Amino acid sequence: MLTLLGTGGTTPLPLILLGETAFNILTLDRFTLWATIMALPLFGEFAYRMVEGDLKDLIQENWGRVYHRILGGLIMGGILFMVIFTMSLGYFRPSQPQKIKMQPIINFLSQDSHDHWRYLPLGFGDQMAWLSAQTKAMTVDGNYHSARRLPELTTRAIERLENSKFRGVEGIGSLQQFLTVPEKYNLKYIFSNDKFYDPILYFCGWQRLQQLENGIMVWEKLNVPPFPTIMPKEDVHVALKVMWGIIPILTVVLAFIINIQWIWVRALKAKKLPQGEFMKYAIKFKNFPKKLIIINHIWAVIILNVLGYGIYLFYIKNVDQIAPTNVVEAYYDALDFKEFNKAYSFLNPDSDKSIAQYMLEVSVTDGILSSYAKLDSLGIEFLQENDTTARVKAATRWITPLESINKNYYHSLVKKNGKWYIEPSTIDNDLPPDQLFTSNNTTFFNHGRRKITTQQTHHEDVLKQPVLEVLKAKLVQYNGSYSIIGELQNVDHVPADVVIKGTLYNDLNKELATYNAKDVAKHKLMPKETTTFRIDFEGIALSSTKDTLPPTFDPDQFTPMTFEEQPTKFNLQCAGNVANTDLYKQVSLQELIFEDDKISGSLFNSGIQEVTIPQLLISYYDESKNLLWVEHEFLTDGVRIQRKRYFEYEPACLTDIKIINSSLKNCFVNGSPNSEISDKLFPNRDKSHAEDQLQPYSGNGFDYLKFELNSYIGNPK
Amino acid sequence: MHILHICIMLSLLFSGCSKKTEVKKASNVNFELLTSEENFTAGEPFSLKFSASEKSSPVLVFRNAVGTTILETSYSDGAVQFNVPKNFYEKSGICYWSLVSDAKEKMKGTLNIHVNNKNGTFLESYLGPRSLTAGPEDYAMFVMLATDFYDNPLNDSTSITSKVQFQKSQSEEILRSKNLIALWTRVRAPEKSGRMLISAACNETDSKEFTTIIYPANPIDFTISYERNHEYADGNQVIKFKTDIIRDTYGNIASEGTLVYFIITDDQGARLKAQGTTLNGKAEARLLHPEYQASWSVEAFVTGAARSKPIKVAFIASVTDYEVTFLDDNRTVSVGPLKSFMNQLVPDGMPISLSVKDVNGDVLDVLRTSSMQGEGKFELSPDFFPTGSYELKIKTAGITKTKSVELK
Repeated sequence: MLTLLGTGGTTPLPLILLGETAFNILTLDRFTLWATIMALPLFGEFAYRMVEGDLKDLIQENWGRVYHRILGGLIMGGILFMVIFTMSLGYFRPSQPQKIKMQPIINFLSQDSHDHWRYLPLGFGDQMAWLSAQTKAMTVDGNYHSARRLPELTTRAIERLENSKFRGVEGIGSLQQFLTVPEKYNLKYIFSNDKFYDPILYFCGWQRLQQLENGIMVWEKLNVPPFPTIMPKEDVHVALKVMWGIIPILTVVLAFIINIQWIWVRALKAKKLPQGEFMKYAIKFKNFPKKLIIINHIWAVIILNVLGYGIYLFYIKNVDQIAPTNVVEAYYDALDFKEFNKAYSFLNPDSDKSIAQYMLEVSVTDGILSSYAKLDSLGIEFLQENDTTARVKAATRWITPLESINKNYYHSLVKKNGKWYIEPSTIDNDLPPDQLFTSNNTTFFNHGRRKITTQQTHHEDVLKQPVLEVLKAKLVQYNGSYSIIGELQNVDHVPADVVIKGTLYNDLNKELATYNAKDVAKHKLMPKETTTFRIDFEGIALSSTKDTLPPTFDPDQFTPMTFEEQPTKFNLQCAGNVANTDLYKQVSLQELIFEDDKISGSLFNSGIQEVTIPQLLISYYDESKNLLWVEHEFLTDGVRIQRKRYFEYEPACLTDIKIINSSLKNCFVNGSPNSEISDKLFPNRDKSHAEDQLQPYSGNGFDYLKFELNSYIGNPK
Repeated sequence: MHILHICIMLSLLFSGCSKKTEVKKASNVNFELLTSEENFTAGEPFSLKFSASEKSSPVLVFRNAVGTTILETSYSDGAVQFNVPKNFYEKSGICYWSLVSDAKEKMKGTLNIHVNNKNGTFLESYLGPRSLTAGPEDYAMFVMLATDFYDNPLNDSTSITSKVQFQKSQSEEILRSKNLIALWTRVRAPEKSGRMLISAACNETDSKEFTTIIYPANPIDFTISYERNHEYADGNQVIKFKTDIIRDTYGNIASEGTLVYFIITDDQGARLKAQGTTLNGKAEARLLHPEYQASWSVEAFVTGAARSKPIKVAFIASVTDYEVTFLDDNRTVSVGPLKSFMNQLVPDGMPISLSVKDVNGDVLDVLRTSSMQGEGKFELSPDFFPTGSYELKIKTAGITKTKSVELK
């Protein structure tokens, strides 16, 4: 049974036995471990009989002493090899990050009431438990699955949020849900030890706070309330605590004391030991059936054959240049693991690209694919093939923190001296216009508190929340799922960090779902800047399921929620807070060309920061310039300074979009009704300004488009 | 054993009940107030003295703004004295007392505790919001609370001065307290932007300095201009679009960092977009020159508030013509040299595209490269393009050339 369960996902049987939930939660390796422990007595008996029992005699009798020795040596050698291999596996492929100095993090959490909020470590590995043990502050994450307190985490198979990138789409999906509605969990601080998560933090509206001495980057989210002073906590009885603290350890200690006596006595031969009771039941090992030895030999031959075939397959698949498929796979593998020297060795040696040139070209590429992606799958399709050349389409799927990206690459392959090579692709020769140039900008700084005191922040140091105005808000149904779309403007005089929270209601004013705007919005707005936004209602938002999540979540294959009751109304709560980071706006859109069903264009970075991930927000309007839909697109490559980046975009088909409700009645900003703000701050708004910025475009179900730009900077200077 | 227990229980029960049966005797003690004073000052301890006709231990129920309390004392020398506790005598206002003896109210009365002006005045003041928009619409509220040493609001008609400084003007307003509640005044935003300082004074005490920032009102229409090195469309120069100083209705320079959108409409009707934030009222945005002849119409917006008049920018083609040469049985297509307006080679990076169509007009492949030393090269490998006739469309610098070739 244990062997069966130990097979894990390789056979469907454990899944059938355990059911979906238990299968996903349990680490099935433990059954393998238990199985090996249970097999120990059997193996012990075998070893005994082999070394000094009847088996030894039988083999020596039939096949001679040498054969027995060789057989014994092989078995021992095999076991030793496996032991050493397993022990040193962690050295070759480390599964844990480097040791992190915890003191700066602990100091940070205990300073300035930072432990009044929850925190979340990312990329800490098992060290997250060590951090958790050292601080009073609470985390949303938890190490042991069933002992966690947040229902969101106990109801799903995800092991930890901290290492969610290793859990593929599901892991990233649930991490995103926590990042999008951090208010719900009082989650304000994130300690990031893995650059991989940075883009999703940025696009969910988080901002960098500081880098600690140990290199950990602290991210914070504005507008998150601290813990309530009274926390509901299920406390266990003191007696239980004492019991759990004493009994397990005491058992071990007692067992140790009892057993050490006998070992001690036996080792020192201090007194004569009585013959053990069990010796009376000793089994005489003799007459090992000869047929069984033959069966064992046949079994061993079968196993060895299977192993040999496996090694052969492994070899064929891993010899890099034996076939076109191999070289492409090996090339992408090398790129994925950033082994550029190896990747270079797969390039056609006759091409005039030197290793130095190749490495230089690699070093100047930036963007979500080259810096933040993990190759998930690779499909190779032959477009043309003959004995010496081939042209292939490599359909790649990359897991990035934001979404999974499918991208097709085309490669020409050549065969030289029995080995296949990839023709290197050409690079853009574009030269930036200026060698040295200047840029002037308004930058902002907020002291937080001016007086150094442990008291609460002084009344006069509290900045007024920037006022936003909701310009448009609509509840729409598209492809079966509901979204709130709209447009927002920062009508204040200072930059604002924007949090948009939408709630859906049915006709009877029953609350159906609540969620925040995730990445389809600009979260940082300069004075008078506008942004379109879209709030999608994902599983976590549903109040009917309360705090449980659907077992799987795929950010791409967004499963529309089936609302038991139709949402007909919505409420929008926006909050502004003074922002002073991530205010880079120097990316322009140019060379727009409209072809058939496609829009191509380029982005030009005219400022002095390298944009790692540019994002396009595309809003769609009908013939009367009413907002219909909002979409977004991440460009896979970054835009370097004073350079262009081409993009292509296929507009959506909006023929079956349904606008359910279009009203600004229930929109609130910083708790005040939107209409009041509009009357006071923008009484003479000229609506033609926004309309005149729209791009006429005859599309499927829409007549105008608008492009907005948002840029994530990986390494701000 | 059980019987013994029951007996003990029962006896305890009876002894518990026995008290109830005690008969209360009526009392006829008479009291007289000895303390003649009715007005006291906050913070100064005082006590109430009564004389009693016989020995008794009455209580004094004492009530004022702090709350109600019961004071106890012991009888001595025919008089009883009640000491008013500290938190009660520090609170100004009317106090009610009643003397209770044997559950009967014997006497009652009132007395006054007055505000103590001897130990100085405290002034609490609050101002909000900390930023305003210039113009008559917006205002801040300044709240002042003058109290004595013991946190009692000062008597009605105490004058508090609120002082406002803005640029060269300074003003004072005298307010008189009423009904013991906090005084407040509206501080209207002036028409100029800047920093406004506000403070208050009462008796000898001055408040600290409060600041509210007056931000400029919404911008009004402005003009834009552009700056470039030359008028050629070489795809490798930066053109700067600039606004003049953007101001509001009152002539203030727009708030720092105000976002200005520049919308550029090209000949094809495509709306390009650049954005800039204001610095000292001026916003600037940069774009690259196009790679082909174009005429742009540029307009700038501070969405909802202000816009500029459109300006026109024209670019002359820098590359007017180029050569396409075919080598190696037409399998190498060489484009160029691409020469710019002074017959110089175009800067590296001019994009060149080659789309290969078969005889039926289906696009087989689009090859792209960028110019290097003014030239671009395409290789049509026999592995991918077998022998036959093809139509090649070459496009660069806005000039499209179509050639039909026979590949061998």
